[in-house]
Amino acid sequence: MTTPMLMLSPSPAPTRASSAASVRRVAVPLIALLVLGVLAIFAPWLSLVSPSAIPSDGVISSLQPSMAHPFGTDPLGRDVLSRIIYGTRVSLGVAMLSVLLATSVGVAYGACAGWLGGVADSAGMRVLDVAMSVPRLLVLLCVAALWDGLGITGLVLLLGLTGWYDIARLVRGEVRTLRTRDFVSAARASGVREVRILLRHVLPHVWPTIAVTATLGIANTIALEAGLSFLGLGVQPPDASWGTMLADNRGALGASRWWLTVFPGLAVVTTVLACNALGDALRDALVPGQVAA
Amino acid sequence: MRVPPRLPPLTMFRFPTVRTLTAACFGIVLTGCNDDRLPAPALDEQGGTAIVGLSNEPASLLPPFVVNNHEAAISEVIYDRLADIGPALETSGDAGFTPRLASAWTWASDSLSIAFTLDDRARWHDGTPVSSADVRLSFQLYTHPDVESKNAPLLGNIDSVSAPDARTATFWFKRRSPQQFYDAAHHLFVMPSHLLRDVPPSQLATAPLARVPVGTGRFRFVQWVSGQRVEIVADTANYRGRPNLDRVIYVPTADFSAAMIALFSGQIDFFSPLRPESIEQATTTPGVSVHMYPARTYQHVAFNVRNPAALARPHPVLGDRAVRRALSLATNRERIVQTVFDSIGRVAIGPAVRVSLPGYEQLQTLGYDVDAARALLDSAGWTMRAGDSVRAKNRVPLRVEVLVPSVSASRDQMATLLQDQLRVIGVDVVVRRLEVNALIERIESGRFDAYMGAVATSPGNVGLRQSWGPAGTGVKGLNHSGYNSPVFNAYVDTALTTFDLATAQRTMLRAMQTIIDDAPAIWMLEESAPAGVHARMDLGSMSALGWWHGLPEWRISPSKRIDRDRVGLVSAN
Amino acid sequence: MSDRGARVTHVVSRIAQALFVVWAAATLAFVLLRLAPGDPYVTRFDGFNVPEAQRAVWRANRGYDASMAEQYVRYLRNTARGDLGFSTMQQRPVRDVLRDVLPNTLLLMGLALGTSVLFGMAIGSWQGTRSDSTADQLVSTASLVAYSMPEFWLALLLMQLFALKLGWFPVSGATAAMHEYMSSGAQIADRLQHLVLPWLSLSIVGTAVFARFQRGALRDTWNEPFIRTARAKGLAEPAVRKHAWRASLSPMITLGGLAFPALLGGAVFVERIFSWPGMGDATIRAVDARDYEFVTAAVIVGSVLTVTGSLLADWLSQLADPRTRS
Repeated sequence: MTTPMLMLSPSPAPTRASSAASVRRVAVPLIALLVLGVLAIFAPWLSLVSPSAIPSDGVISSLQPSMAHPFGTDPLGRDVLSRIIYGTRVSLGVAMLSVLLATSVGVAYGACAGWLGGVADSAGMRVLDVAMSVPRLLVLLCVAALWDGLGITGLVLLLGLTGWYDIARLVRGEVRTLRTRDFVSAARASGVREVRILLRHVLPHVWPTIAVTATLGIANTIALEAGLSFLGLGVQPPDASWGTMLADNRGALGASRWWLTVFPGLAVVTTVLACNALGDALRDALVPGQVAA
Repeated sequence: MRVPPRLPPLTMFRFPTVRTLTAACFGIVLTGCNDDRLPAPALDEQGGTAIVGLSNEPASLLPPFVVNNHEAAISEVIYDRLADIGPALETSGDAGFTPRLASAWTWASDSLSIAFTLDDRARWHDGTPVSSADVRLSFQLYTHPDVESKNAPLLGNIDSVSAPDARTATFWFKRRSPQQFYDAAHHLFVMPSHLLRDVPPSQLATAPLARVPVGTGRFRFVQWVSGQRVEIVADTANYRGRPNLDRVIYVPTADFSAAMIALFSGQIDFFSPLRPESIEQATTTPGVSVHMYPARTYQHVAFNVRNPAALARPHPVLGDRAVRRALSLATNRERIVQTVFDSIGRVAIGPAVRVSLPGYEQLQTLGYDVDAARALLDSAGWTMRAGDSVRAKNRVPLRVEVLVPSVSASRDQMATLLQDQLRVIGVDVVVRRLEVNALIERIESGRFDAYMGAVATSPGNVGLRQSWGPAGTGVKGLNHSGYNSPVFNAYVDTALTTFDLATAQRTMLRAMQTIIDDAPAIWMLEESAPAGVHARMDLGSMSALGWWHGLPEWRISPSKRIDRDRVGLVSAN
Repeated sequence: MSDRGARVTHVVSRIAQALFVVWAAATLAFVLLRLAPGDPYVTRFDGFNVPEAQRAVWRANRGYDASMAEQYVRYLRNTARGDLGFSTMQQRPVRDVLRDVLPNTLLLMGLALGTSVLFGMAIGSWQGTRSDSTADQLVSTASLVAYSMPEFWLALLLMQLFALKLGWFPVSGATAAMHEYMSSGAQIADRLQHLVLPWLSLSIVGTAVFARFQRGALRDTWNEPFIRTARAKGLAEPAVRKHAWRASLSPMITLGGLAFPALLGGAVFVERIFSWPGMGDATIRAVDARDYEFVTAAVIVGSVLTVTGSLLADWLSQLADPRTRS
């Protein structure tokens, strides 16, 4: 949300850093994300306290962190840790699905424009320029208002369909360069069909860029979804996302119940951080010296 | 940079204005209206600057365009009504009303007109005397079709206002009604005709007066720095006496956490309403105390008794009175209110608040009784087969979708607790949060099962016909439930058209009992409006009409004054 | 001559494209908002007894009852004439609202962008010269963390720490309640104090973005042939660095242009949290209130800013890039 996707490599220039170090740079965030993913997927079997369990008797209040509730409980007595783990499913799920959508659209669009060239290409790029010049948050604000209660599907569509411009530009750039390469001419000369050349011979070279951009895109989207939920426009219960948890407990910030905002916030920051770190590491490993834009 | 406005030296007004009985009774609700004249505060008691946090930036300060509390809190202390409603908020006849801009009034023998005599000491803040032309033009503007005023429908029973002489404004009514005095006095603030005469009604909203108000109230306007502050000062020559404070500065603080931090750190002196989660810290922060203002709002789970697909037919689940009663019986409202609102809410009785109706608390309500709820549902045919968790009737599950506005965490919490409690008796409550415009659209078109709502009740419960009766069932009406009980309607009509107060109140109680028994809603809670107040402030009385009604009586004792209380004001000595 | 002609054509086409962008954005906002549930009278009169017949009269007065096509034509005509309409939420002309809120936003964003670029470039350049040292890696990690923080979360943290716990800075608004009564020196100090937290929230993230980028750009140019040539020619290391830095300038400027809309988005959150009386906060409230004419105007302003940012960046990067200058 906050920043344009970095299309110029932030730390490119493959220095002669040891391959062990670069493996570690990829592995650490990847493992962190995998752990998170596994937790999210297997949450129902982890014999956690149910995220929606409300104490059935006695006075309900927001308890501070304890052994029974490591992250405390919310004002309805529900376990914050459990809610955060279940929130992963929503926050990470929404981000991954919408980036998947954005990537598919972006790759298709960029590949077509780059491959066809000529009028189609310049028209396509003008359309992109226009789309990119409209502040995304304003579009999201207006579109989110359209939905009669934005469901998860709606949110994925919304984030996906407004998030593909960067990747389309990058893919188009690479495809245009690759199109003039010898192996393409060779394939063409030997009678391979255009579509097949594009899919089988050209796109595989673009995969690293796609992977990096998609990873960074997930980071972006998690933050954006949290922000939208924070404004009351994101995911709605019962599927509480981290952003919703933050937004609902805003008032607790001034009060002493810090655990209601600190832990969901940390969940967002950690995940975004892991994705960004992974994206950086992947780029350094896969896309040496990439300068696009 | 703006030049700080120069205020008139306080020495001019060394002698407190003689207070009339009228002013003494002004705006006192909780403490009751004292028949004795209030002792005029010693001269040195007057003074000080209060900084008030508002939950939003005001839009227009012209009375017809005021829709929110953060606008009323400024506009209603600058402008005057003709008379003020009494502490019991009684709307029948003129009993309890105290003079404000009108010093006296006479009823015509046929009761179809009331002649208000304007206080001859009253002056606009620019020095022009108040005249009956002001009242007449104000009425014409409020009711003009081009003026987007929410009060226009409330003035519907007034046919016209005439100005037989400069000091007399006569209101002519279409029909006799117990509320006719209330209609004229309460829903209309008087605006200066000499500044509005040449403004076409369609241009009223953009008239200079909208942002530079000139009124007759005890405070007058100084300046409005857009988005940052509105400043008013004591109208020291006011006909009803100068207020105690020298100056009030309103600052919009849209973010609630930020408002709380500003309050706790002393940047602002007053903020209302506090939210439940902030009460605890407000009470424990040194130098800050919590004042509970009585509010006239109740919150409820409104049921749709009409079929969302075909409004002429009853709702397949909630059209049945027994089901609605069962849902209400199975709701532990005490626990919900305590959990979500703690000390600032109490369980509601029906579609009114306790202060509004004597005897209201003695009504029979649907208490918490899970067994009775189960029995009711069983006998209504909603049964649960072994192994199921949701009741059904003719294979239709007993499912109720409750709509909640996405910005309200407290209503979401209430709905979630309700869901948890009703699960016990085999009712599946689906909580759905909606963006507020989408929510209102669903509710107004009847496409819903239930929603978490809040209703600001009118004094004298005069709004019942709109909120639960036939007057509110039209398009964009307020009776979203579609509740239509001939018995209830008849009682309400009688109560609101009976001139004898005791009879009217008795009939109103019958109406209340009828609707409580029919349970078109789960009446959840009555709210208080808690205010966080800095210790140096002495607020005095508290009105259920809004905290700002007591503003002229606020006081900061000299020993508690700080720099900002004096800065920019010319010293008295 | 033909070169000059080409340049004119280029400029003209860029401007035409910019106008098209603004038009498209405004049209999008116009259509979306009118398709969305509600109208300007829904939230404004929620809970009040204002019958539909009454609302219909008001809607007709403002022309909101006409068909969307008809409204659109009128809207285009009015906008072309410079009439931005009436804000139903603020009950005054949109132009007046913009005059009040736009300077506040520009001040906050300009300051945040300026410091982000300055500090970001300084930090990134410093890192670029000591690639892969421990210090470089520490700073990289720090900027990665800062870069990964959503502005609203950072704003909340800063508010908690500096306003509640330490009480160093005011927490809301652009000036204090008593601003009018301060000496002019104190007024300036007051303004600065109110700027600190919103500015920090935006700049910390912004600085991280630019630092990461500067470091990357510098390291990219490091491997470029002309740097290697310069080295081979025996140029002193500081001079080589200067060369490399100059070459990295152009992509940096491009990023600056791209960062603009993102900053605008971040400003929405920061303005809201710190009650900063700017465009972002007003726009969110206007969307909620279905204040049609203000929202479309805000979208126009937002896209004009964005387009201007990218045009400016284009121009500057051409000035800066030694390879495109003859």
